[in-house]
Amino acid sequence: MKRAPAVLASTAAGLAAVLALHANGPSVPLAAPTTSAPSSSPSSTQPSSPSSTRPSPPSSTRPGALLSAVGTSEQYGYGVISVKVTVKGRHIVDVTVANLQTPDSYSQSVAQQAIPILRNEVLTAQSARVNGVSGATYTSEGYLYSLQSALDLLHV
Amino acid sequence: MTLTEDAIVHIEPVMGTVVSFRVFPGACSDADARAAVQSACLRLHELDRFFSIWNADSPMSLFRSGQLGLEEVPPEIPLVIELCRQARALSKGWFDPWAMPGGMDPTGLVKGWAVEQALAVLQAAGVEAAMVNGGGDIALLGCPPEGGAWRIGIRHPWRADALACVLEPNAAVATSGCYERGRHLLNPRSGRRPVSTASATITGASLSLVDALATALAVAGDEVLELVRSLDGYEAYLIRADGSEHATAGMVFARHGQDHNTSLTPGRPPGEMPSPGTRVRLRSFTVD
Repeated sequence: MKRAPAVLASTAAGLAAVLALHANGPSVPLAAPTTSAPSSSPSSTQPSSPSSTRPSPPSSTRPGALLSAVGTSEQYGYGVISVKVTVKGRHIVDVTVANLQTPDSYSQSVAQQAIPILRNEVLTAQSARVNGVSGATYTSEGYLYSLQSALDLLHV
Repeated sequence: MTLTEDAIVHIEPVMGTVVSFRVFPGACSDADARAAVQSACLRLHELDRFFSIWNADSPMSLFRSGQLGLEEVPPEIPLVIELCRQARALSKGWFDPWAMPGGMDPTGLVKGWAVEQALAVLQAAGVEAAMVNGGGDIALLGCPPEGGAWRIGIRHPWRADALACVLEPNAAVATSGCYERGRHLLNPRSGRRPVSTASATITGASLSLVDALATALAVAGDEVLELVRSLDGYEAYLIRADGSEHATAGMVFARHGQDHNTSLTPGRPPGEMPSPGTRVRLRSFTVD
């Protein structure tokens, strides 16, 4: 399949910004995991506090260098997560979970499902940038396997 | 990409699904935007309590069982019933909440309507741009701050981790299909679950109607596709069970490889496949 550098680059830049990536050199851990409690549980009937991120823009990278960085720990709706992104040039070559703290097995599943899905999306992709995903209504369980949960997890 | 710094992301489990918020406050203060998200969530939980047919004590359930009259239930219920009536007429009966087993069932419309209400709370608070995704039913406000249109991926019906295509709707989009919870998907004329449709997507101005029409398109396929052509501002994208695709002429597909800042005329020439990339190719594509 023909690659689409423009799209990949914008995806990489977008993800990097979202993940607060500071790719100044190989394997730069940026944030120690926090120990704060997650803000919500899926069984809650009350709205939980909105979570948000304030990422800083990525710094420039040397072309061809394999760089990886761990984003700051983010309050995801189901816990605290940090994600490790590996970039070659302007292409993301891997996305993994660096640290994950969740209150229960459900939340654990959310993150563990979402990241492989996003990884697949990013890597097989030459992915088009998307803001959201529409599909047949999923249950709370089905959400685990949805691309929307991957986008939410990474605050894309 | 620094503009994405302003995004407030929130997920809320409600209505048996998860509602995802993406909010760009714009001129609205960050604190006000967060408060608006909280209010929108409270509203969703309230509507869930009113309309749940899984809870025997909800006003909707008590109305269905005849224990409460229409004047005794919250005013939202007669309003939604009227919207259901209009959607049934517009869809020529292919969306028919009165043909469901167990009595009048607004499931195919009420979630879209509730998501629309949540977006209205954000809009009233002065939020500049927002996306509210209620388990796949999406209501949009404004434009994302990075420029261009909102880009919404349509899930591939046979792969949860792939997109069939990317659309650029300007207000609302909903998709129906039997691959998730499809219990409200019954053909009102045969009483059977649809077998010829894999995925049915509608875009348009009102998410309530978009939601109902997506249900109708899923059960009736090509017949509703014809009908949507006659509705101004509404477009349809159908993936049939054999993998063939069809879209109405005005459906806007995101162009593959195009910078999002330049996608001002994102229409696709007839016969050209929609955005390859992550797309898992279906069998054929036609556009009228």
